[in-house]
Amino acid sequence: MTGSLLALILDRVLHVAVLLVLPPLLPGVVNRVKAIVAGRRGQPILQPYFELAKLLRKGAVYGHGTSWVFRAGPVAMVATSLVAGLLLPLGGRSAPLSFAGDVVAFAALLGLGRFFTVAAALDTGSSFEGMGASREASFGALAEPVLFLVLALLCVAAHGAGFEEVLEPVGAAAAALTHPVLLVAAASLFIVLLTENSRIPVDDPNTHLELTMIHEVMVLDHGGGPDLAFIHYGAAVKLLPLRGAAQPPAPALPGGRPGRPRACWWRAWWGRQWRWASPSPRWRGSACGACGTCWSPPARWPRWGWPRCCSTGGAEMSQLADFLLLWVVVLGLQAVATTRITAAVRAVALQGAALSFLPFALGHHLGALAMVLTCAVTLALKAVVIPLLLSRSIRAARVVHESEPFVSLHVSVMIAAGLIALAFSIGAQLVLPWPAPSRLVVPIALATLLLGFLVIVTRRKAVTQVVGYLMLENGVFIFGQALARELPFVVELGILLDVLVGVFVMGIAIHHISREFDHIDVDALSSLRD
Amino acid sequence: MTPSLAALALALASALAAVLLARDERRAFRVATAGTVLASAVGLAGAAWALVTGEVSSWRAAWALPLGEVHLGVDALTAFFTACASLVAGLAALHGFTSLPARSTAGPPRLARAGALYALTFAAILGVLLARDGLLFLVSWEVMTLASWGLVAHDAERADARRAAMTYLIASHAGAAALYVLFALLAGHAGGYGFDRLLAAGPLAPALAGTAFGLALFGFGTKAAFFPLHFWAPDAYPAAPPHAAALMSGALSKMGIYGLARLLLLLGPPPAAWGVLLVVGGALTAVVGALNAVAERDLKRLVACSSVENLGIVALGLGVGVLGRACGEPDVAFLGFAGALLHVLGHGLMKSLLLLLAGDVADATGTRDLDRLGGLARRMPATAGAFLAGAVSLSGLPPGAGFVSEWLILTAALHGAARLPPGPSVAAAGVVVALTLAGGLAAAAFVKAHGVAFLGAPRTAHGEQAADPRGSSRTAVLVLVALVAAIGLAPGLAALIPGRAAGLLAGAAEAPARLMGALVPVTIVAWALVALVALLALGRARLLRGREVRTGPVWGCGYEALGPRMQYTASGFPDPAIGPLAGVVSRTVERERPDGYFPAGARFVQRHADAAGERFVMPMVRRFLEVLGRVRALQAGRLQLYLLYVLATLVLLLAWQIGVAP
Repeated sequence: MTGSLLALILDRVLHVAVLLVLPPLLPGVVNRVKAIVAGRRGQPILQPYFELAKLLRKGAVYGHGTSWVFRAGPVAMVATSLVAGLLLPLGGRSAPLSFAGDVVAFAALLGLGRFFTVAAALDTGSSFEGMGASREASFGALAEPVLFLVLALLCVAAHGAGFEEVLEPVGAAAAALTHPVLLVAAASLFIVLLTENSRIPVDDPNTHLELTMIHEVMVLDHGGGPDLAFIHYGAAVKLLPLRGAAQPPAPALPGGRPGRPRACWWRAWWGRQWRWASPSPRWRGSACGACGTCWSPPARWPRWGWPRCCSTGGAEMSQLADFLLLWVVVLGLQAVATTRITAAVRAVALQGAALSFLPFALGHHLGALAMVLTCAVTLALKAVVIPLLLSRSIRAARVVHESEPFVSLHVSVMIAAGLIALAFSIGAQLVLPWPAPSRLVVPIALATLLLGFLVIVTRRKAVTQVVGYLMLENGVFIFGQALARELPFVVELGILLDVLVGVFVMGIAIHHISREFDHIDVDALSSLRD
Repeated sequence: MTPSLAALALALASALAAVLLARDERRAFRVATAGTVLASAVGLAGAAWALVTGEVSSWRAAWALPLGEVHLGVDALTAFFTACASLVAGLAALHGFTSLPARSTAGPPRLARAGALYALTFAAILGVLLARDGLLFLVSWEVMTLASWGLVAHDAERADARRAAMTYLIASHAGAAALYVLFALLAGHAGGYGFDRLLAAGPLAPALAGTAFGLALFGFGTKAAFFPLHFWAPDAYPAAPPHAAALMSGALSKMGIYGLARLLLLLGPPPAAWGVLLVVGGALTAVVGALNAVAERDLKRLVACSSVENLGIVALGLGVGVLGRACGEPDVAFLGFAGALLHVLGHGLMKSLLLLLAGDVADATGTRDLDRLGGLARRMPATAGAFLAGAVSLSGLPPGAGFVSEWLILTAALHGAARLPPGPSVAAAGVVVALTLAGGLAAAAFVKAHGVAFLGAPRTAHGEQAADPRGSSRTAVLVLVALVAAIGLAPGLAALIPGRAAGLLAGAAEAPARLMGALVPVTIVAWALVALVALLALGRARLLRGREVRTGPVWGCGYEALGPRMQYTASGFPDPAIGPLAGVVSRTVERERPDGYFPAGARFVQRHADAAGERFVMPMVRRFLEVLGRVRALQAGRLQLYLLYVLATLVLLLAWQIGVAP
């Protein structure tokens, strides 16, 4: 009895110690990895600690005319993120403060930190800080419901209302989550689009400053000293809990919180994950294990069926398939949601790559050779050859953006979400000759088909329409997987060849059209009809 | 029972005294206001006694109303709402005691009238709460509406006040009409207007109960300003004098909630559909209210819009409670109802605090336009601090009162999402999303209001002479801040106040003690936060001791000559937030671009309006007025015609008497 009590106390003390001491390590690791990826050596991993120590020894400079609210900002930021940290389980251990409804308290604490950060920024009276404050407040207001939507859905799946319940038994409930998670994906994508609407094309390096403005701008006026140390430390502390909080719904939870984590999540989302050594939960776990595995064993995040070992049996396989299928639909949404044609092409290429592993993941009983061949051919065509062809046409036609689509991006994402819901409701009623290998196959096949149609119908540029056509074909491919016993792979490969030829023809046509007409808007072609 | 009756009598006597003493305006006002404060103290004491002891009592007068009777009663629900209303009414009256006579107005001061109407409104609120008879309830309701209408029309010289009062009157009567039908329906079922008869008559048929609930939602929802019946609120609250606005938003609008809760008790176990209806209505109300608050640049209107939002939050809590009750989840029901009721109390305090402070700011600076204010924290430090406390709390952030109630509702909704059957659980998940969206927007709105009005540099010369109010106004504000903080720092104890009433609504008896247990961790979080903030502030002070601390220019992207007019404005600040949701807030922009090599002038004005009011309610009202216009032809102004109507009516009645009735 006393032994277990002692262990409990020790555990709590350890938790608090980790919470207090480790946070600055995280940005240190992130910066280091970033530097290495960019081909530099980078700063020492402990650099943030050195900086904090230096700042704590300095005096302070405050902006003219600022009041006590300005000085309260950093204090509130550290205090709220530390208390929020107390509510979170860390590295598989339960939190020091764990109770039903702790998620609500967690979000409210971060909200309080944001409130004071924004108030402090407004206190400077500078228009630059005001801009940061405005964005911070707005994004916070819009990101919070998304976070809570995810939490509510997890509560539905986990039958509980605290972090403990929500974070733990999700694996068992993963099947129940497949529908909601798609909604989550759509919703978070919607939020991302809002940011794009605010003229923040996230992965454009030229506007990098615009992005970081949200957070950095509000740091600017805390001219050194303990206040700046508090801000840096608070940001690091926030990174740590978020890393834990954002863990379970791996596919699409935004680090929807102020400043850095969110920014990094966007970066990760928009397809350049590998370039930023991003601290976003999704990619830290996989892409750069260096910092991802530090204080949370990777065993916690494969509940989405990350293939630890692909030969461990049917359940794992089906999970892998679900995982791939979820990515297919998320990438489809990205293709719908982006204006940049290269991004759409990349999305559809990644979709093809995900699809090419599908026969394998669904565990069709093919010979090893046939399996490898099918996967390899699909991968080569869908993920490499066709996208390359398209990229060439894009370069030749010199189009970058899908300007003025018939339906605005917001609306088309909402339509897409509706179409996905429709696909799920139809998919549930559709009777197949035999049970589908995964519950998700038919709905996602339909969803991909419908999204493909959506892209074709709503876009003006010929290249984007080809992207839509490819998505349509991907949908057919997935559907083929559901009926694989009917449809031999030879037929599927034949279709693939057709598509390849089709894309060839289109590529050539696009090239010629753009040479003749100087643009590739297809609605301009309608004047050729007679 | 006796203290409540005494409070009612005192309030009525104060109103009467003001009328009798009307010759000396100031004295009449002082007497009436002091009487109201006394009445509210007595009412609070009685309510507290009833809440502690769980007293349930009733009192019948010897004389009868036509059709009804004078039947008053106290139970947990009445006691809770009496406590809320008394607190708000007393403290707001205390504030008005010095602030109203000091106010400069265009017309005559009308102090006696204001004092009498205020006391009468409070008395009518008590009447509504105590009434145990449908007719008495309706009579009190009408008195309450008319008296408060007089308060909205206080500054009758101002056209906007007149229009606001008219809108308020029309909206209130549209709502009251539904209530008449409602009570007539119930009386038809029970054979009388008494609430006890209704309870004795047993449950209503589902269709009838549904109709009754729909009517109640319309009638009470108008008073509580539920979407889309909220359009009167953002006009009416700012038009009234500050202390009256605090009474109206803090206590009077809660009568709509009381009515709904009372009806839930009278109609018996609710079906889940009512809960879904409440959730949908509450979600729309909360989000629309918060969006309008974010967009608003008039300080008083902003606070008034947030009032709409918070009543929506209360509706969400009630909705979760009803869902839990209907699906047999007592915990969910209890947490939901407790959250809703605690929000009634908390919002009453926070909102009166902010309305009073907004009134102080408007009176001290002569403008309500946020874009003309700025840097007031230096001139009015106490007001700025109190406003910050209220703003944090109203945004649902710890350690304020708003956080506790929103925590209860959200936790109930999360539990509901986990435990309820599929349909209601989706509604519960909707509560979570709507509440957090509204909360985030409210935080943006209040950080904007506080930041633009009190922080930064002054934008115009308004407010150069501003100073913190003194006297009883200051006392009232301090007490309100202390109460708001007390709820936030001792949530377990605060939750006992609505505990009994919530137990009554949820049909669970032993619940309050468990609620206290559930709130212990929230208390720990609040105190941990306070302790950590204190520790860090002390630590920083210690670190900076003996070191150089100076001020320097703020960062302006390299531009040194930043002026106060370059600060972010209240119109610009929320732009990213409302951009994607622009359909809900209709925005008009007038601009003249600078033109040519030597531009002479440029102008940019951006206005926001409530799209629900502009696009939904106003067209409906216009259509309705058109129809009524045709009816007006009947009233031609000729005596002969009127006599003809009388004759025709007589003939018809005769014919009906002979032909139809045997």
